[in-house]
Amino acid sequence: MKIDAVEINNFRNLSRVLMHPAPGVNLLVGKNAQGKTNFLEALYVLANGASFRPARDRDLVQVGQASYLLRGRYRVVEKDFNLTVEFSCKRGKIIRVNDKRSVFHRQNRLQVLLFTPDDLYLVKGPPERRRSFLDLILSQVSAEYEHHLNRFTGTLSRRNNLLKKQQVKGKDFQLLTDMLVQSAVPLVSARINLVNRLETEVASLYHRLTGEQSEIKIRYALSFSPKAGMASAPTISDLLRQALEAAREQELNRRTTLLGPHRDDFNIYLQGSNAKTYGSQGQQRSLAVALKLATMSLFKSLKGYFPVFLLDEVLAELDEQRRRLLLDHLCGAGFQAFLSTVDSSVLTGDRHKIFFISGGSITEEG
Amino acid sequence: MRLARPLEKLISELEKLPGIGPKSAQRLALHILRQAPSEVRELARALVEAREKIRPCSRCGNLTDEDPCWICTDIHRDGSIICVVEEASDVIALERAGYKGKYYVLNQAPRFLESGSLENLNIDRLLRNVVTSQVKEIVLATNPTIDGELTARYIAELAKPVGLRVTRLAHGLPVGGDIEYTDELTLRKALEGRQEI
Ligand SMILES: [Zn+2]
Repeated sequence: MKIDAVEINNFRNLSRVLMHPAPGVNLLVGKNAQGKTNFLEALYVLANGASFRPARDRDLVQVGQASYLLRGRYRVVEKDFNLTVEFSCKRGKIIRVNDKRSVFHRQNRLQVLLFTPDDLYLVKGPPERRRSFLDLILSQVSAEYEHHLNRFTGTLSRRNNLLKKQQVKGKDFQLLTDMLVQSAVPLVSARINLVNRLETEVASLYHRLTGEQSEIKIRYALSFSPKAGMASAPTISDLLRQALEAAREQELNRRTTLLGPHRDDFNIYLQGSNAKTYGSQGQQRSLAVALKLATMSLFKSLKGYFPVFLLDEVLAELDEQRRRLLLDHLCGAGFQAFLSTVDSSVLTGDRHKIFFISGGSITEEG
Repeated sequence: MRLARPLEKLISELEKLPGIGPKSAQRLALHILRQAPSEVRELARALVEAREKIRPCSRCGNLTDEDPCWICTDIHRDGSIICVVEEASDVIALERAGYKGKYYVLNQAPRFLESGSLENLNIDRLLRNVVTSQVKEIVLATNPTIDGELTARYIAELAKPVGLRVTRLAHGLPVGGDIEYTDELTLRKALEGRQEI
């Protein structure tokens, strides 16, 4: 999937932008607060209909204006699409694919994968970061996963509600527990599957990015069983059911559901030791980069095409050597990438385009 | 801005209706003012009459002006099968899809998170009706939402010991969607493909 034209009107500080990006790497160069992140945000909104930053639609409209309009032309599997996202304070948001009103099915929609400095804490950070990493990619490639995830989350909040009120004797608590287990199974199976596929991919990317030949293992960690992530669907169901049964007393004390996919995690082992605790900061960051890049290739193998890769200020967070290796990889990877950076000299050669962003306007180099 | 008192009152009453915002309320009010007094009296009478004469059927909960309702008393309908729905509007949808059995209308969308319990759904009456009649199968046609499914499972648990066949509308219904807004064909297919639970 590649974007060949972008138009932005009245979005944040970008009054009017017309751009024809390169099919490979696009560098967005500018000082801070000139509009680099706003540009990436516009692409993200174009794809997802909402921002990755906590912002309401009216916050995205340029000060003094009443609406924003985003257009993108992209090509996927030999087909061209025109996508517009239009928001006006009066009429709300309208999304059109090839001039037809589009409701939220993702087919043919622009797909992007975002990489921000926050993602560099993927390995070191708290488990919810890793869970949402898995959920995000799985929801993006499978509407079915998204459905199960919503069902699980809704069931969980109902069950927690009963635990909060200490009402666990009724039929409803039993039924909610059944439904919780049932909706947990497809989530856990899909995540285990994903983690196993990530392992090979991450290992080869990590070796390429660092030159280290360390052995890498990634294991899904169930919150309800020490069996590290090789379980089959019936086993998951039985294990979770029994574990919840056994944890009843504890759940009543803590007034919340203590076991299930919302408490699971995954661990990465470098030469047999957990990178979260024993890895150096450099190793953890390289692993995070490898995880993000691996997601790109997995997306490709599941959907048949690459999403568009958006990297917001990630380069600044990497040391010279890792930055070079990442850029080399991006230049040869075969997907389209947009990178924001303060330094234009990071890239040499001619397989990329450079755009300068200053005060909300964008000019192409040369 | 000040409006004539009666006009203001009319607008504020219309605004209380679902789906009517301030703008539409104003448009409707002005439209009513342009109508002949006889037409407006007709509308007012229809409103009051409908509200006063129509109530839930004491057997099935469907909205009716005679009790029991025309579906409960229709001897040509299949009395061995009873379809449980959330709202009377679902009856209209299933009728359009050609369903020929009887109904049981809960008359309230289950909202588990707010009520925190399933006890106050009027399910007891359903079971009383069922035991004293020739019903052999209960089709659960609650919406495919979490609360709809929870309700369906709850009813199934209560009905199975009585020895009834309990089925649930087959999937193919739009996920998270409402029976009321499902097209006839999809609904007919879902009825045909109903599954034991
Ligand atoms: Zn009736």
